[in-house]
Amino acid sequence: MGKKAKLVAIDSKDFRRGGKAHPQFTAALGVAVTIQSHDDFKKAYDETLRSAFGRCGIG
Amino acid sequence: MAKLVPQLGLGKAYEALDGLFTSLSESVERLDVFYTWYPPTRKDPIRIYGSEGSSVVDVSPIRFLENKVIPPYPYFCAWQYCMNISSDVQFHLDNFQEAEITKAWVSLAGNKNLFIFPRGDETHAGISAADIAARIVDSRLYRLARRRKRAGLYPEDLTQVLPEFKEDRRDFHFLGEKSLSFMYPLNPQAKIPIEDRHKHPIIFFVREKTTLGRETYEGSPLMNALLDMAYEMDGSLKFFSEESDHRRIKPEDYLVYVGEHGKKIGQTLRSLGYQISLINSEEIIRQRLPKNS
Repeated sequence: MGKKAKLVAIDSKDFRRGGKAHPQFTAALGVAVTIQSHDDFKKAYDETLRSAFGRCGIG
Repeated sequence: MAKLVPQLGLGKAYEALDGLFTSLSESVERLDVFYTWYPPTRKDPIRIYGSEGSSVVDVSPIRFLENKVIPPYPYFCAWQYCMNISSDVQFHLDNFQEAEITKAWVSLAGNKNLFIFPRGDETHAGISAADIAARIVDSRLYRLARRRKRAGLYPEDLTQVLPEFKEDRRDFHFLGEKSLSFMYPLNPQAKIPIEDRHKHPIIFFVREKTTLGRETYEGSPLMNALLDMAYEMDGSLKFFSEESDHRRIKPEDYLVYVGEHGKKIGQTLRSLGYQISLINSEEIIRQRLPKNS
């Protein structure tokens, strides 16, 4: 059995300073989260965020 | 955050987010931050397209950033991750809107373990963690910048805002001049086949032909229940496209209908031989939203 590849989850957002109408600074900002085991991470996520807010994500 | 702020107020919402992020960070092996910006003084245009007979177009750096870099940024991060860290991984990316093919995508497309999750920050624990981390980095940099009286994204500031991760568990990657030629769209007609990368099982949600807008569906308790289902199944949730989604149906997928139009679509698909499980939304409401039934 080959070793299961790690999971890398990625999301991004725009990074703005000064507002869209009068931008002082605009950038793209991304984050990659590397997880050894999706199942283990999901358990940890369930115990923290999902149990606190009753859903996945913060809306 | 849009839902958290009314519940808790802005200050408490960020406190809650900070606490959750710190708890979750222990379960993260490593965290990488990617960023791209241009000095506001840079005015010379960026030349895009020109491949396969398409005309070259000049765009200003800020328009290029706004329209061609920010919207599909998750895949640029994945491409850079392959360059700098490892390509022997599975990528799970939050959805991005229509994007054109670039050299970065061509280099990444061979990875068959790259999946895209519509509304991934609400259906996928890892993507939600990445979403929270991006917001945390933004908000901590904002507070730091106020103290330092400057706006921007500087490497020395980034190293200050993630104390949860020691140096061997985090890195910062600037996708600047050296990366740019890989981020230029090649041809305005050549689009990334995003929907072919959606992770199955897919829950297809059929809208009825009524005057109710998309927002009514998106804000509904049923939608929250479907997001939860997708989370539990490690799958995706999307509105059913009558034009093109028949091509993507797999036997493990579901079609959720709320009325006669959706039911008819489901039955027709099955009569045509497509293997898909049909679910009446009332069944989901009964099981998952008992107070509504």
